Parts: sequence; structure tokens; C-alpha cells
Amino acid sequence: MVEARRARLLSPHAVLRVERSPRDLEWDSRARRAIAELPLFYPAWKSVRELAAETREVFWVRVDAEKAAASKIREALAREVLRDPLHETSFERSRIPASAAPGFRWWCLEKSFRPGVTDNTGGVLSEAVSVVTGRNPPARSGARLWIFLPDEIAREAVADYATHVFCNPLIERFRVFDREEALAADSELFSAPEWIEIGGEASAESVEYFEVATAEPAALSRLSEERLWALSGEELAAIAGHYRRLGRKASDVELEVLAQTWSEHCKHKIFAAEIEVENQRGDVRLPATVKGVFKTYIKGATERIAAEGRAPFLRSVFEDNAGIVEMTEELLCAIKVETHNSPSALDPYGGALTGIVGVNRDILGAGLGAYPIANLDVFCVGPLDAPETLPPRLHHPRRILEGVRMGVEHGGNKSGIPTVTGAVVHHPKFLGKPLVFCGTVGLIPAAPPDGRDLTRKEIQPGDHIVMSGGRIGKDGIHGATFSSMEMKESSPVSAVQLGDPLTQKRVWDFLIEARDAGLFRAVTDNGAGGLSSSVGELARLCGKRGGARMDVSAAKTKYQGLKPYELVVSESQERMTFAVAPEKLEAFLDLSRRRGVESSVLGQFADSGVFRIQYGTKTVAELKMEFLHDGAPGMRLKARVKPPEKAAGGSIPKKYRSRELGNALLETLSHPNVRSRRELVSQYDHEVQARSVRKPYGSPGHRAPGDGATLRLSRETHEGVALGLGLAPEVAAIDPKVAAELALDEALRNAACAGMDPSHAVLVDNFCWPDPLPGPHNADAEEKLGALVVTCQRLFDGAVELGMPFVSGKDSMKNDYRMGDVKISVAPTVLITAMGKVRDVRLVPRGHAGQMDGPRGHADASRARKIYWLSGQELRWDGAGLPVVAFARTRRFLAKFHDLVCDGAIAAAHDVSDGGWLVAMAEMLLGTETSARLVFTEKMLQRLRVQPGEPAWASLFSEPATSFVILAAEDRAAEIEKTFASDVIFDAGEITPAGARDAGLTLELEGAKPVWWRLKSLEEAYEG
Amino acid sequence: MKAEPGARRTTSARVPIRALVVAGDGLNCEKETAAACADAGFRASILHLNDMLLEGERALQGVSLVVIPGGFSFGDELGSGKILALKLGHGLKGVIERFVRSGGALLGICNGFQALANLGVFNELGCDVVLTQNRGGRFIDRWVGLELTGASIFTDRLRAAGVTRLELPIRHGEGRLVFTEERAAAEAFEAGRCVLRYEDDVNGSWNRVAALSAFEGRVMGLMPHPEAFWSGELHPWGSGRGAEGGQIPLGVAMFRSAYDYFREGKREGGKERR
Repeated sequence: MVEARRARLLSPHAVLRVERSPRDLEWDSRARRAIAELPLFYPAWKSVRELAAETREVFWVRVDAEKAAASKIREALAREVLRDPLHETSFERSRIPASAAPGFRWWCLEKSFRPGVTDNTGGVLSEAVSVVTGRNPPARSGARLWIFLPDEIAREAVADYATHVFCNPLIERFRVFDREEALAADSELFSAPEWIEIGGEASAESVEYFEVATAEPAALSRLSEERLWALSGEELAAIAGHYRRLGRKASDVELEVLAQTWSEHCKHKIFAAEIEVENQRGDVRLPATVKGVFKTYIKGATERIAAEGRAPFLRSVFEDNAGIVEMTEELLCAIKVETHNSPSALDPYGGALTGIVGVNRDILGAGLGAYPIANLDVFCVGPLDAPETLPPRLHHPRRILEGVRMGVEHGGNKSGIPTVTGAVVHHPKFLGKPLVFCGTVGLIPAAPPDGRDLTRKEIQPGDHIVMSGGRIGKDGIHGATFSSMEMKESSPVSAVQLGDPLTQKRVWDFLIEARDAGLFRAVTDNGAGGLSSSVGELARLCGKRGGARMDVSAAKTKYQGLKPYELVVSESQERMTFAVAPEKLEAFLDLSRRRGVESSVLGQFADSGVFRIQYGTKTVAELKMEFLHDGAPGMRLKARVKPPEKAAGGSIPKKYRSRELGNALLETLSHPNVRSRRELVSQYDHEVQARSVRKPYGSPGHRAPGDGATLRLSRETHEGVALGLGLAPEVAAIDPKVAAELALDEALRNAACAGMDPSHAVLVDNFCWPDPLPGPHNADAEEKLGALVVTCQRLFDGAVELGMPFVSGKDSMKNDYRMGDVKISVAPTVLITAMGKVRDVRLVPRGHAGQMDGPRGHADASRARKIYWLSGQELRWDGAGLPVVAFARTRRFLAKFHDLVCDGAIAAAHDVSDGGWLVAMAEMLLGTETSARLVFTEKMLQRLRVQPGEPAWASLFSEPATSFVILAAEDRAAEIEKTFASDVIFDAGEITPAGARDAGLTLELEGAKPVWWRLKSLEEAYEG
Repeated sequence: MKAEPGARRTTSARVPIRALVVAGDGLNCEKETAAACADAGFRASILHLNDMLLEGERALQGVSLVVIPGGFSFGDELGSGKILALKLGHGLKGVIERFVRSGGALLGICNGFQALANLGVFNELGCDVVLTQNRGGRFIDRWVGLELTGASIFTDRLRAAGVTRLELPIRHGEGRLVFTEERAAAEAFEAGRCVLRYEDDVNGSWNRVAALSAFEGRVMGLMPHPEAFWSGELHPWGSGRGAEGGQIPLGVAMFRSAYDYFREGKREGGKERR
């Protein structure tokens, strides 16, 4: 077998190069976009005039040297596969742009993937050729950009542009030619490049063995660093002790598996650590020792709520790939939110793409497989106007934002999962590492026809281990351990990879079909740690002791030469691991074949207490399950909780400050953290699956921002699910306690607007922290850990008071960048996702004023409608000018709010968030052809006021917690006023229909001249 | 060329009118599309492309409507809908054409439309029809206003009911409709083959055309997603909320129009001629 493969590789071959050029510039949208975006992504050429560009697609196909076969493939490419009436296909020289005007020059940039990098276009090209010819030649893709530049721009500058904008040198190679070089008879531009195959030979003999039992601690630490294992001194000592007891050497496979399984990424050691707390704050109660913030506060809250019988809807929490909650009688919802910060820092596109398809796989692997129905994404990046020159290895925030946006676009859209909600936050603290949160919700039938419980994985000894989906390559080796390190210049490129949404969609279709046919007993995804984690984790479910035996040489690979340890820890994408009962194996493999999904049978689960890995017949790792999963020593850490910073308060945070009301509103609307993201969001599909009720942007033209998202769950009932997100990283620097409160509050505000029933709601926590472990470059580690303890404690208080359990979460604890003396740590950030049941999606309020039919429709559109400003809090402010949050008030308010929603009394609702009250009001009008008239008495303004001495109007920009602007449904004003009589409620004015030209916002403050803004000018400020 | 009218129309009220929705290889709207067919009255089923290729002619027996739904077949690589069309063309060898010629209806939505264009279904218009990258080079998700400007069995009942415009979501990166010959385009428009037209120029399509019909209106391809508007609350602003008054949302109404075409064929006493 091996011999045959080698023979094929050695056979002589030729490479066909094909290009496709647009027949007319009119069809060259890529070129148009490259030029349009140039000022944004390469400001150095901002002032260059007469920019022009053309693009080409380039393909390389490796064909056998045998002439007949080659010409058949060539014909298939020309006549069918690459035929396109608007493009011309060329096997020789493709069109070169006509000569430039004097003083200008055409440059040609060409890029192609580095060997081994996922090339989706190449893969499809190969498949397409096989559809036509029955032959499946390997194929690769590249792209070419011709760009027209003034003579004074030198080759070096063009190469700089190529490095920073045209491609990412981590994954792509590029070449630069000028027009004369391209025209030369022997131009390399038109020669087929050498076809580089990566790989080589590998066998069971390529396993290395280490004498860890007797090695010096320093030598072990060096080894751990060289191999990117990220194991600590204590952990290495525990491993050394283990092998001393065994009296043998450790194989590299064993050490790799241990490093993956014990990594911070997989094991959450900091969240499990015993923490000694020094509490310097009077307003936070903390024990002297916290025995694990996860156990005490996160899981602690959930257990407490469940024990009190307040969460009968929980089905599976903290033990599976995702939290699973009963949402309706027929349907369970699985939810998971992940972060993909380190990969996104290196390659924003690939990082975000694999982030989203990765969390999709978590959902596919929840229970016996959940069907993904919604994605969410949150990006925290540096300011868009950050200096153009940044420290080494850092991408500019503009580039990062565009890259991660495109990653989520391709990951979500191509998978057919709507991206329904999200956020973008800019802050200088995210310059060193962006935060990229990707979340997914999936559906599991609560009561399938065959009566199985689809949330339970069960494995019997003898069940087969089957890996299905993508093949294994070198990509993503050490992702889990790398994410547990700070980012340095030497950060490994193998940690970067690209996703393949097509393969994953095929796996998904197959998985759901196989689930419904009962063809497997357990499933999980291959994410961080690859097979070592997926099989290692599933093995625990087999019998009393757990165990498995797998032969990794049976795994399908992208190329030859992968060493045993690489096969075990590679994080190559799009793979799921199944446990298949022997009697179902044939049917499973048959369906897999028919659905175009590759499967490899790797071995069997066993109740042996041992995880044995073989390469062929040779054992290359033999790990005791007990040591693998429970052998890691716990951490003991110290935390210091400092009193909050004394910051200058005031209603208008400095960022929005303006002396004058008229401008203040326009300025605030155009602030980077407030302004419209429609342009970005409209590139995501948020409609696919036809469930989206409350969408990212409502109102005609999609101009008014929505809060949270509402999805209809079934066609038979009107039940749905509401999602809300909250985070407050800019507050965390001042006071982590308030930041935690506001993150939770924002998630709940958004979900409340989306119709969440607060008595049937759950939370997901995602922590992205700067490194809280002591070290030579980390003087304030104890304070960072202190902030973490306070945050967790406050979230516990909130969750318990509200009766909303945490069901899933994730922590990423190494979000720092260090290069020489430069260190940039992220703002400690917790993202809270709220998910709750919606009783009737038809009653969910709109986010905008607009056509004034209430939720139930059929209203008289010509009548005025009342506007209320509501707050569940007392509108009190602390010494730092931050809002005071009382969770008990939040709870009471949300219950009343939901009752009114169910009653159809609220026609529209929008939460008060970044920018404050008046911004929320203005946002509801965008795109609607309605006018709002607000009237505020001196007494009302007093109540809103944050600080004495500031102008009366300033408080209209304050950002309190649990506050909303709502529009009453027809004839429901009295009911609303009565319901909120004991809360803060302002009868703020009314909405009236208006023509497009007259629509606007009028503000009448007692004792001042009325101010009027034309709706058009508000829209322009907001959309920029 | 001339189809046999009523050939696929059923003969008895008890015989359900069947719709088949294709799935697999990256298509992703099959579920809601089949549901919209069912809402309209069809007995709808979903069939994986690979199974369809195995079954060949048999797959379409007793089927009145075949829908290629939206999605990203083959990841949109090498041109949207292109490889799906190659696979259908090579794998089914004329089955679809025979189906349409003998009276069956064929609907391509978004990626399905792109596949139909690549299959050459609209060649009768006298030139190549291409759906290429949006003029702005970006994917667009938004609800758009559409005028009814032509004829097809999917829109005839709407027109008969006095509907002149509707709103549906578009979600595409390659929806710019191009005719390779201007004269053929003008003739197609004159002849009512351009079934829907965007009210705004959203993607640079020729004459803002969003949908085409062929084979006497039994074949339609459109970029907007009618299956996404099956219930009033899915419309992002007020005007979609009339659904309670007994009307069906206009997205489903397009499937209903096709259903009525087949059902009334039965009422007229059309006979199975094959």
C-alpha cells in the first residue's frame, strides 16, 4: 500500500497553469473593491491619483505527463469548469493591461497559498474536474492584481503593500512583476511554478522518547518551551514523578497528549485554582480563600438556582460541548460561545473563520448533535485611527476588523447559519490582541419519535472510534497550547489555519441524518488538541474506567509524512469524532460515502482505564486515563482586590464631550462605538433558515439598530428564543465590579427588547483576561486576578438574584502582547450572553418607531403614540460616575416589562446603551418617516441629572443601567404608566407620522429654546 | 420546444401535488423552502443531490415542481452555481430538461437561480445569462422592494389578485444579472420574461431585473428569497404584518401561485398524457 502510494508520487507529471480574466473592467468587481478600500487599508497611497486595477484568477492543476489525459483535463477546464461568458480563460499568456500614461507604471502582484495551507478553491476545482472527466487531479488557486501607480512608487513600496494588504505572508506567498517583466518572452509570471509537495516519510520509528523521570527541571522546562507545550514547572514535575513510578521513558506522543489535555485552554487551570484573596474593598464581600472561581461562582450560581427549583429547564450544563436547555415542549436549545483571539491576531480572516466554524462544531457535537440555527459575533479591536506604524507582528485595527468580518461572513454565510446579533467595541487596549467572540445556538429535538434522549452520549466497550470530515494536516498544531501563551515574534505559524465551510456543511448534513437514523452513540468535535482531546474525552464515557485504543496511521491525511504525534494533536478543521456501535458501522460508513464525507475507522473504545495510541501495530502512547485527566496538579494563586479608580464622572463621558446640545447628539451618534454598523452587518446573512424576527437593523432600509435577536423556533407554534449580549471593557479599567454588572445588564436589556421571558432564561460567560499569573513581565498579576475574582463574585450575585443560571462558558487568560519593552494587555473583558424563551414572537416589540402598528397590527397609523423613558434602577451614580445597579430591581423590572410585552402593550422598545437616552431615542426614528417631540420639565431633568453643575441637557446622554425608551401600543398608555408607577418612568412626549422631508426630533427643555434635528441629519451622523 | 400543457397536472383531487427540493453540497435553504412549498399546499420532500443522481429519472416521477434552493453550493468557488450545474448536467444527463419539457415546473432561488443560469435553462432568451459579482463587490443582506414586471406560474396569481409590488430579502454576493446581448435582453423584457424588478439598483443588474422565466413561465429563477417570507413577523418593518387577516405572506404566495396552477389544471380536467 505504502509502496503503491510512493510510486504514484514519483510518477512524472506536468503542471497546467490556467488564468481567468474579466473580458471587461465592468465585470471586475474585485478590482473595484480593491481600489475603493485602498485609502482605508493602505493610507500611504491615499493621495495617489488615477488609481486603476485589474484582477485575474490563477489556477494550477497537476496532470499526469500522459498526453491524452492532460488534454482531456485541459479541455474540461476550458469548455466547462472555468467557462464563463464574462471572462476569458487562457492557458498561455493572459491579457496584460495596455501601456500606462507617461509617469505611471503597471505592477502585477501574484499570490498563492503556501504549501499545506487549506485551499478551498483548489479543492473545488479538483472536484469539478472529476465531475467532468472522472479524474481528480490536485489543483491550487491563486490571484493576481494589476495595479496602476505613479512612477515614484518603487518596487519596495509595492512589496510592502503586498505584505500588508494584498496577502498575509503567514499563509500566502507573493511575487511582484512590473509590466516590462511580464512582457518579457521568458517571463516567470507565465511559467508554471514548481509543484511543491510537503511531507515526506513517517513511521512508527519517528517517535521520540524522553527520559523525563530523571531529567533536570530546567531541561524539562526548556523542552516544554521548545515544543510549545506550555507546561508549568509543577506540571512537569508531576509528569516526571509519574514516569519515575512507571520506570520508563515518555514518548513524544504521550507528552503532547498530556500538554494538550492539561493546557489552560482545555483544563481552565486558573478558573480552578485555589485563590488567596486580599480584599481592600469595602463594598465587595469575598472569602479569604476562593476554592476555584468557576466552582464557587459560575457553577456555584447554577447549582444554587437549580437546587432552589428555579431552573427546571436545564438539561445539560458544563459537561458537554455546549449548555443544553429546554426551550419549548419539542425543542432544546444548545448554546456555546468561544473566543479565537490568538489566531485572529496572526491572521484575522483565518482566525475568525475557524472561530465561527469551530464553535459551530461545538454545537454539532452537543448531545448527539444539535442543528445550528444562529451565530453571534463580538469583536473588540483597537481604534480605527490608531497610528499607522505599530509594533512588529501587529495588524492595524482596520485590517483586523475587515479580516474578522470577512471570516465571519464566509464562515456563517457559507454554512447557512444566520448571524443574528453582535457588537464591535474599539479601545486602545485591544491593539495588542483583538478579542473575537463567536457563538452559536443549535436545536435538538426534545422528544424524537424513537424515544431516545438526544442529550446523552453513551459508549459501550467495543464501539468503534470513527473520525469523519476533513483530513489531517500539519495545520493547527499546538493551537491549544499556543493560545495559552502570550503573543511574541516567534509565535508559530502552524497555529494559523483556514476553514473549509463546504466540507463542514457536508459533515453537518451527514451528522444530522445519521443522528436521526440512530447510527452512532456519541459524538464530539475535533477542536483544540485534535484527536488527543476528542478521543481522550469520549474515552471517559466508556464503562467505569474509560479507555480507548486507536491506530492513528488509519486516519486520512492531507499529505504524507505526518508524524504520529502530529496526527494526534493536529487541529485540522472540519472533523468530528464518533462512537459507533459495531452493528451500525456498515450503515454509518455507507451513509458517509453517499453524502460525500470521508470517514476513517481508528480503533475502539474500551473499559480498560488506558488510552492507547498505536501507529500501525506499534504502541506509541499508553496513558492511564486517571493520570491523563486528573493528574495535573492544581494551582494556588494570590489575588489583590483594589478599591475602584477615582475617575472623573459626568453624564457625557469625555469621549462625547461637546459644549452644545445640537452638536452633542450628532457627535455622539457618529462616535466609533455608537455609529451604525449596517455596512458591516449587511454582509452577513441574517435571514437564512427563515427564523429571524428581530434583526440587526430594522426600519425601512435597515437603518435603526435592533437590540439582541429574536428567532422563531418552530412553524407549528409561535414560540421563539431571544438572545442578548453585554460587555463593558471600557468600564473594567475603572471598576471591574461595575463592569460585570453592566455586562450582565446590557445582555438582559437586549434580550428583554427581543422578548425574553426572564423566568426562562440562561446565561453564558466568556472571559478574556490579561495574564493573571505571576511572572517577570507581569508585576500586577495579583490585581488582574483580583479583578477576575470580583467579576465572578458579582456575576454570581446577579445570576442568583435573577434566577438565571450559567449554562456554558469559556475563559481565555493570556491576552497579552509583548515585544521587547512593549507590552499591551487587553482590558479585562467579560462577555455575557443571555438566552431566553419567547412566548409569542408576534408580540416582540419593534426596535424602531416606523409604521405605527403595534405588535398585533391593524392600528391607525395616523395617530400619535406616546413615548416613555423607563428605568428599573434608581438613577443613582457612584463616586466614579458609574451607574449603581441593584439586581433585585432589575429582576422586578424585567418581569413587569415582559408581562407588558406579552400583553401587546409595547409597540417598540430600545435599550439605553452607548450614547445614552437621547441617542436611543434618535436611533428609533432612523429610516422611519416619523417625528418625535420630547418635552422635559425641570423636575424631570433633575431626576435624570448625574452631577450637579453640568448643563441640564447633559443628563440626556447619561448611560444608566436597566433603562429603555419605549413606544406604547395604541390605547395602552394608562396600563404602562400604572405598571411602572413604582419605577422611574418619564412621560417623554409623542411620536407622529411625518413626511420624509419634515421628519425629525424636537426637544423642548423647560426654560430653553426648543431644539430640532432633521431626521436626515441624524441618519447622516449615524451612518457617516 | 413547445411544452405539452397540463402534462404534469394531476387528475384527481386525492392525488397530492408533489414538490421536490434539492439539498446537499452546500445548499442550505432546503428546509424552509420545503416548508414554504408545504404551506402553499404541495406535498414537499427534500432529496439529497447524490441520491437524486443515483435515482436519475425515477427521482422526478410524480413530481410537479422541482426547487433548487438557496445556499452556497460548492462554497461558491469558481463562480456561484457553476459546479452545481456541472454536477446536475453530467449526473442527470437531460433528466431535468425532459422534466420541464413535459410540463414540470422548475424554480431556482438565489444559488438555485445561479445554477439554472449555468445549466443554460434560459438559453431560449437568445443569449447567455450570467449572475456575476454584485457591482459593489460585496455580499448584501437586505429586504428590497420588487415590482412585478413579467409572467410566470409563480407570480400569475399574485398579479391576478392585484399585487403589483412586494418585499423580500436578498442575500447574495453574486446577483448581478447580465445578458451577453443587449437586444436579447430588451426582447426578454418586452416578452415579460423579466418577472421581477428591484425598485432600487441594489447590485447592478441589467435594468434592475431580479427574476427571469422560461418555458412559458414554468421555469423561474430569482435572486430574492420568497421562502424567507412565510410569516408576517419575519418582515423587518411594519408593512409585512397583514398576515393575520387571512392573507398569506407574499413569499409563500409565490409557491401558492404555482400550486394553484397545477391544482386548477386538474379542475380543468387536464389529463396525464404520458
